[in-house]
Amino acid sequence: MSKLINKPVEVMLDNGFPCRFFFQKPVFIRYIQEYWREVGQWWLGEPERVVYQVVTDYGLNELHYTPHDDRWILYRL
Amino acid sequence: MFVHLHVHSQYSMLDGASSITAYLEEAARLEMPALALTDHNNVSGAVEFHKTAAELGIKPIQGVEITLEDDSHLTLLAENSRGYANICQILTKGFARQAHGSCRVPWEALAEHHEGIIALSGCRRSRISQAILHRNPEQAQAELQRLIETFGREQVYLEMIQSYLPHTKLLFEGLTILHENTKIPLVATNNVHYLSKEIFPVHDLLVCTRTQTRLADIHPERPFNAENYFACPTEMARRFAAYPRALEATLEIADRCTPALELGTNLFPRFLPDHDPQAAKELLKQLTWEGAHRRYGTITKELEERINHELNIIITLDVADYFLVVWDIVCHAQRRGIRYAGRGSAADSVVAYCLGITNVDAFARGLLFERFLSLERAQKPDIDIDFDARFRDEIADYVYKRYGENHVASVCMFQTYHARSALRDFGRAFGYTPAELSQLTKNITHCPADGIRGLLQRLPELRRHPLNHPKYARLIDYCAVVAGFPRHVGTHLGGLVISAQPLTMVTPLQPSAKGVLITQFDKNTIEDLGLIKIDLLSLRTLSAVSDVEKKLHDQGFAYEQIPHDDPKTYARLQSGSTVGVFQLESPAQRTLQSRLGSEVFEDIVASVALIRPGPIKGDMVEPFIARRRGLEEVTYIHPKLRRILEKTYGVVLYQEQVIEIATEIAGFTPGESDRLRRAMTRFRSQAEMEKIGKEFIAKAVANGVELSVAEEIFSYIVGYAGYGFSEAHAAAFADTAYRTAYLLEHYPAQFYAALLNQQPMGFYPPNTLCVQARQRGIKILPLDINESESDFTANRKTIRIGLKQVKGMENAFLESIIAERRQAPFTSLEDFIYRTTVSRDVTENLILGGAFDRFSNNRRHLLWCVPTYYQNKQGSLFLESPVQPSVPDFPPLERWIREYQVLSLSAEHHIMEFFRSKLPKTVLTSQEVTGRKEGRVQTAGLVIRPHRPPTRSGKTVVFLTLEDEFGLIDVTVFENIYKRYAEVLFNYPLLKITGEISERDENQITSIVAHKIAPLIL
Repeated sequence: MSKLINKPVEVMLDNGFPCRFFFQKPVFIRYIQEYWREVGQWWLGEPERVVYQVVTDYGLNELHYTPHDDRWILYRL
Repeated sequence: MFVHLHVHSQYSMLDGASSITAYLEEAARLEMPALALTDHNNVSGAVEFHKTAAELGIKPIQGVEITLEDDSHLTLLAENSRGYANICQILTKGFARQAHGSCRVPWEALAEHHEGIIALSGCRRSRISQAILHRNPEQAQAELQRLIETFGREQVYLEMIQSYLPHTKLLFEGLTILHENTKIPLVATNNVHYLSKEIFPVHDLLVCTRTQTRLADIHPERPFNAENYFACPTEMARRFAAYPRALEATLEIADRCTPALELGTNLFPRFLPDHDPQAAKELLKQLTWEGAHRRYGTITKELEERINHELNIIITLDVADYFLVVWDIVCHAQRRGIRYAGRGSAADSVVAYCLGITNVDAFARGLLFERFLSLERAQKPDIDIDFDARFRDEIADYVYKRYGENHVASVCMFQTYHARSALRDFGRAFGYTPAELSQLTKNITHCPADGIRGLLQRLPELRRHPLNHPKYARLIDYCAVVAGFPRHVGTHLGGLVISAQPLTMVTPLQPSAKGVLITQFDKNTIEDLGLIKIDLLSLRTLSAVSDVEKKLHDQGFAYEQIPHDDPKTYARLQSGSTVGVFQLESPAQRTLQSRLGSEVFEDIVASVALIRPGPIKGDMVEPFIARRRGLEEVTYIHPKLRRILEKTYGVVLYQEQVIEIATEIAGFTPGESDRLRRAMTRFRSQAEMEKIGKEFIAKAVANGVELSVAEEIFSYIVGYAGYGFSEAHAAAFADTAYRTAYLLEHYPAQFYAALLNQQPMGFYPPNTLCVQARQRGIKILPLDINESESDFTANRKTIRIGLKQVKGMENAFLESIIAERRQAPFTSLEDFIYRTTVSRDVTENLILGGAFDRFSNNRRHLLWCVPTYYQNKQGSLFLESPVQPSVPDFPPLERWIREYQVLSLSAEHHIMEFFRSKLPKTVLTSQEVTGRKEGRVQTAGLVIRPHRPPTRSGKTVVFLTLEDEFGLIDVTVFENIYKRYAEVLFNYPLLKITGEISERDENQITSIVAHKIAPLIL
């Protein structure tokens, strides 16, 4: 069962892709299942974001990255 | 390196957000050797694509993204011209038997026309991709097998698009498996829809427009992200780092393809069934000489030389069949009694005159054939013919039947984005309300989509326009991107192409909204494909003329026998009272007529050519008038100019004169002269014009002309050449202009009624025609349910308003009224409602229009009765009696307004009558103003056609006409006054104007120069 988190997290990259993030504790990413880009509600000023579905020891997680402000969010656990 | 093989331009309507030129320029900048164009279900951009690619040194690969019967997509590329022809066939079959605008290609069409085509498996909407995404690898394999069987193993590629959508990984894995199993190569594309990410919002707005959604709505076709841009090779290499072979495949495909279009070939029609060009040439000669004997009687040596000269050029250019085709069309019109008039530069041709295509004697007028056709220019002839508007489609039908549907098509026309349409579409997508959209588009007229900002800055009446608010800045920017982009495809009003070979060799054919087959290329590019166009146009003036002739038939009247020297007709022209006369009714023309004092047909020809942007800007009008009236001496700086310019009093007025001057003075051949003339009209820089000037002057000097004289002659023509009018065209128009002036003079009631029946047409609204008719002593009889016919009807001194004039009136209603009335006249409103099938709305409009005044003059009371009568008619169990007449009628002004709203005219009164008694005596009527020769005056009236034509000075001047119950007064508003009162001028229907009677020649109609403008409000 997924849980909405929607909180900023620190993410480490490997070759441009997330490999580890810190949410209450370090979480290692086993592999990236899927990733895509979304424009969002651009007409309301919402920035583009990249969505990563990553598999960790705790299951499937969703990280969002907004290039606009170089910010990472743990969206869902 | 990499080549984009899946690109959507502006011709992927309401989807592609960047132009062909933009993509090609970017491809050139990125040093891509080739580019493919794959618009949705059309190849409309092919000519532009090929021409621009050639200029930029890029290989064009013509393709298309088709939609199959199951709504899936497939990308096709033409490997060669055979492949292109097959794409045209495939698309034609895709459009056949579908709703207008819809293309669904049956697989059989692919099987039948596969040769020369490379098939890419397609985007996410393809069958293969859908099968993979639905986790059905067997289905994906089967679909690929089907593609291989249809196109051949060597012609199929698996298309990979990395645009960072969900499930791309799954898709790529599936395509890779297929590749490994079948060895069908992978190829990388980016399904490009816009040049850069910054333009993505425009793409999204276009999709919203297409799907009729707002930005805030969710729709499956809305783009998920902004990744389908024209990515550079570096970016594509990054996206396909794991699939380098897919990138290399784009270059392999580009290498295999050759440019598909063979521009400049000849697909002219063939007239005779056996397509024998030699027999056609002989037939043309025979018909021409027969016609010459008919027209001229005696054939002089000069005439014979002229005709032979034209025939020689026609035959050398291999367009004899074209002339025969046009001859055949006009013969058909003659047999059917359909009025027509050839126009344009075709009137420069004696052959066309002999064949009866035009009615202008080019030989007698000394017109230059090379203006129409020459060996040096070797361009295709373009003949335009106006027909009685009611029968134009019948003529087109004849052509379709005569040559076969595969060989005839109408030329398409792209309805392109202008400021208003872009604001409406994008504003709707943003979620603005209809009221807000109405405010945003108000007064934004005649403006390209990228000209909105400039317009807001330039026009003072837009100072307080809502678009000035910063919140609309982005909207204006997005509108600018789609300036000139096609929004949807329609039918050109008159253009038809006829080809000896099947048209689908070079263009797909698709049905228009009316079911007529149209090409996918418009008039600007159709001839580049080797096709030749005939313009069969509708002219309502000819319909009006036919109606008058029919009406007067019993009196022995024949339009063709109108004498060209009727003094009363010229007197009418000289008076400037020419509202309704073809080409001569605008305020500028009416003023010109009153100043020029036309006495002969040549004066009318000159008039048609004079009131055009060119002569106005070139400062030709005043010298011409002065010389024509003998107020200025006519001089020629070289004796050779006398013969050429004598008929226009030394003023260069016609394009043909420019050609003749270049021929006589500089020794050019007529064909070279016409090419020179065209070069002068299209010059892009001062340096280019100077180069042309040097060539002209050098040749003139070599021809024995003094240098200073040569330079002066060149200066005459250089400012003019860009804007001049063809004398042949002017003469053709002048013929109709004179004849309609004759009708106006001698048969005003019948002529005004005929014009009213053909609305909308002409310069003035129907109400103005009624005012003019009343001024001529003609009574306008009101709408009457028992007396009015469908159309306006006229006797010598009366015109009865027709039922068709009522707002909302439909043919079915008219038929019902006329049929019932034939049985017995209507005896009451109730009787009318019971006996006819007319809708309630239209019945109410009939009441407001006065149709039932004979039963009760209280229109409000009649309106109150309507619901009850309709209820009773529906068979209510409770038959009700209508309200008793205690409700008073509308007050007079309201009654007038309501009548005007449903009829667009008034039978008896002018709105100014309601204001007259309340206006001070200092506010003069149009009659009183006309009686003054000079001085300051104040007047008031209804504003007719305010407009801003180009002026000599380049400053803004507004011309309008004020109409009152007595007539018309023309008003000029110069720039300083316009800036002060712009908002009033364009936003109020009734104005009070203070101004000075403008200086004028004797006989010139009175006009006012405005100093002050105020709205007229009761």
